[in-house]
Amino acid sequence: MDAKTLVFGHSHEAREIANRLLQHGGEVVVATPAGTEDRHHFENLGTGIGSGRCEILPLGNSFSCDGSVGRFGISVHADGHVHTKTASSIVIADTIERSPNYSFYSLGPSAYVVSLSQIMTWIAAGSEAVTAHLAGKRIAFLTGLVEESNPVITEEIMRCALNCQQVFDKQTYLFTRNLKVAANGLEALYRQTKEAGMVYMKFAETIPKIEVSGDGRVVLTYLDEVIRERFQLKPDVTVVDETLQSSALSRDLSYKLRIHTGPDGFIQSDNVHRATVFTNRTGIFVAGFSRGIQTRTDRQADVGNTVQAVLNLYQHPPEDPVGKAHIRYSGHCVGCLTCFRACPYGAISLTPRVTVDPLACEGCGICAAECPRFAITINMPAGENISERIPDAKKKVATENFKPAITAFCCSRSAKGAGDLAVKMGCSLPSGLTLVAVPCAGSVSLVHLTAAFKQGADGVLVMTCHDGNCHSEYGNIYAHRRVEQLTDLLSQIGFEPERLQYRTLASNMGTEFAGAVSAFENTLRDLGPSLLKEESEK
Amino acid sequence: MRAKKVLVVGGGVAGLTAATDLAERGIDVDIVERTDFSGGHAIQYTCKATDKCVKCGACMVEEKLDRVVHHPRINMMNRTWIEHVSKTEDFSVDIRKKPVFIDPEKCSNCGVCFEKCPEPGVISKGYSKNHHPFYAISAEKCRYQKDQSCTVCQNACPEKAIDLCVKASAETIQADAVILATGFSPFDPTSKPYGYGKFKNVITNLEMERMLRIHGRALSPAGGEAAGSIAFIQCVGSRDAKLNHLWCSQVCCGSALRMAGLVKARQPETQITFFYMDVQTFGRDFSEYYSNIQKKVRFMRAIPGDIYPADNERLRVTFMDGASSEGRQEEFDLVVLSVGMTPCEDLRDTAATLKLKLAETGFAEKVDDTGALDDKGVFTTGAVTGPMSIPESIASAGETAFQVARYLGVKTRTLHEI
Repeated sequence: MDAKTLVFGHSHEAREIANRLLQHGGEVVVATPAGTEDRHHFENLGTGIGSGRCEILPLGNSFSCDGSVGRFGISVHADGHVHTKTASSIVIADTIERSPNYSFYSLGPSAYVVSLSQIMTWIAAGSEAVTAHLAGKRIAFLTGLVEESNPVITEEIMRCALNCQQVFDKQTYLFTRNLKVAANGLEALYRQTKEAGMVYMKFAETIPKIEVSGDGRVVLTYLDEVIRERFQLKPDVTVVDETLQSSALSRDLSYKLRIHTGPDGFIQSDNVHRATVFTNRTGIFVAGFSRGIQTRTDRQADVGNTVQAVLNLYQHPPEDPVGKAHIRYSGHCVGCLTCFRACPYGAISLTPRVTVDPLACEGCGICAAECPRFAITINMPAGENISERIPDAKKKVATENFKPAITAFCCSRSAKGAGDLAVKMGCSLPSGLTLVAVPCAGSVSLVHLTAAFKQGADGVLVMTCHDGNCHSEYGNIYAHRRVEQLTDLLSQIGFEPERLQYRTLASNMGTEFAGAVSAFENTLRDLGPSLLKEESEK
Repeated sequence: MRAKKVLVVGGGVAGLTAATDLAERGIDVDIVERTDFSGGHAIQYTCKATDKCVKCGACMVEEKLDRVVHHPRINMMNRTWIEHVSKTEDFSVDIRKKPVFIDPEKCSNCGVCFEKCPEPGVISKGYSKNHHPFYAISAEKCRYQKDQSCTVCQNACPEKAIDLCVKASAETIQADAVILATGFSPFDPTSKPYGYGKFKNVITNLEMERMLRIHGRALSPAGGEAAGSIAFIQCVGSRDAKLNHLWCSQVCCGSALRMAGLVKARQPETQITFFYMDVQTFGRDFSEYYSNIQKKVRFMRAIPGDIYPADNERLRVTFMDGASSEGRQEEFDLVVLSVGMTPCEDLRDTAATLKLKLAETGFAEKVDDTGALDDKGVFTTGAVTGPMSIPESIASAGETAFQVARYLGVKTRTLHEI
């Protein structure tokens, strides 16, 4: 694998990451939105550019980006030409998009109503700009009155206000619901602003009434919830907060590269297994504001974590073929694209035909279980396949004291650990229980489930991660769906649906594991031996 | 030439993460952990998922520990701490070890010792499947250690794994760099007027985590029955100017509200009140979680004054009611104090040993690598530098591991050669 990385973005973090990769002897292409490619901005990459190991690639109006770990490609269309570059890995570390929340407060921009970015620019420009634009004495900041605020915006407001109080002799006010100080140094900064004279008004039950008076200034009418008295404030300037969003480039890339996004629209799904800078795609990393509203400290930490992750990939490429998906073509694969749609890692490509990229495949087995033509197998040593590990429980048939045979398919990342913990904690577990550890519950197919019954299980459990905690994003959802399908089928032929159950657990839930399997054993005791087992006995 | 080696002080989530990241890059790591069980505070936390994962991160710690115990380059030492450090070319660190009475080679984790020990609290249980032995005998509380009067566990052990005569030991280890990752100490709320330590049904958020982890339900510690009403009190020892604790502990709103959500899911009849100053943002699904939990939990913007005992071990909580701006009293079965994170207990001494500066807050200063390369070889990471969540500790440790590897000049293969 070439040590070549494609770094997207125009942020401080993007430059830092590129710089560090160059220092480690890598090659870097920095792709930046058109118009932001000026050399000055990328000064720190000078040596790299000089040595030919670093290129700046303006993205132009349209570009395509695809491929897989070890062989990503980007084509930029500009001036009638197509510039194509390749890279082994991708880092996305763009800036954040800000939009002023005028509409939240039914306000519009004017000489008396400005956005947070605007006032920050003036303060950064110095006293002339401040005198020119910020007339009068009183400045009110509005944040988190409609949607919740966050520590990044709160810190910006507090720093602005402190400056206004101390340097420009203004009187500042903050109107908010919850003051967001959950970041390093913010509580101390809050005290500092209070000592400097800033006034904080916090609301829980009421919201201030915001109106624009005849002269264009805002009038805030509100109830002080501590002393229960009504007040009116007419600030000379009102500053509205801003919503921070994933940048257009980040959103575009998440679509082009099939990277899952979180509930907040940022790249990287809200899944603890993606900590810190990982995505569902092997070889694609995301840092800084591209993966969420993060403080400076957090963004800085992302730089080190990203470079480390890229170096690890180059030094230990995931080349081991064991545990990876394999497609049988002749007579099996019909190119239905089920696997392409199901693969959470984007490891299946379609050119020239349906192919598994072994470097990107994480071996979850979802594709193998979903394939309607049984064309996909997971490359395992003999005896290690799931179907070979389903216990033969026919011998365990009860005589007097019915001890139900339970086959529990357990995700090795969650329920298997919970089971091990239950054993260690000394919890009593059913004697007829057999654990079948699987790489992901998504690999348990309908064939596996029916085989477990056929081979003598009185009950079958599929135990896996909680919704939103699956390393393969939706392996647990596939598993759940299959359990429901089979339950449905079984109940239609008069078989007790209670014999097949789905449970979610985390690896640290030993007590809950023991509780679940014991309750299941009781259910099976009441039901008696499985009829399917008796059939297969004969 | 021996492989480069790093000493990690503290086996919590930050220490474990830094150790694995370094080991992955071919560096040997020793971890010293003062307590009986590695994984820090967070290994004791409960999974707070209801029908779906609420991103508390507790399972991440389990995953990190799993990787550490299976990594051939990492040597984990529990009941161990550093006493003296000297530096010439590399570091020479004197460590001391409390006696380990249970031989891990022989122990089968059957738990007979735990059952047979006549003195409650002497033998403690682990939390993780990766805690081996799963039991630990306290050197301070064991009767045999006092007057040789009791050998019940030693006699009962079917594996003959217990030897109560094992003595404390000391050794000197060499390391090329040291990472301080000793985390935080929870604020001790006995000084607050909440009756902690006096009333059995006043517990801390960490005790609540453990209770939910072990019993799966919110119970009254005094009687053992399900708690019908619970008050969570936030910011106990955080954001407190009187204590000069000018920091937000950052994780307690998330932890308390996620626990509240778990209790409501399992014991829907429970009435929960959340006393707070400001609800802090936690997690990327905060807006959704916050709007849902507001339907299930009563939010009261007030920090209670005193707590008095009431009948049946109940607790009378006094607070200023915003709506009427009058003092009010209400009774609860259980009060959970969200105690803040404070600098870890012995940080002053450890910092002196390692010649590290402390910040004004009393936490360790973050050893920063943004400018010049650090030349001392001592790094700090995780909550020892200030309050941090589990994911933040992981990020912090990853960054530190990267810096340490740079400091050591580890390029097993430079990228040119690949």
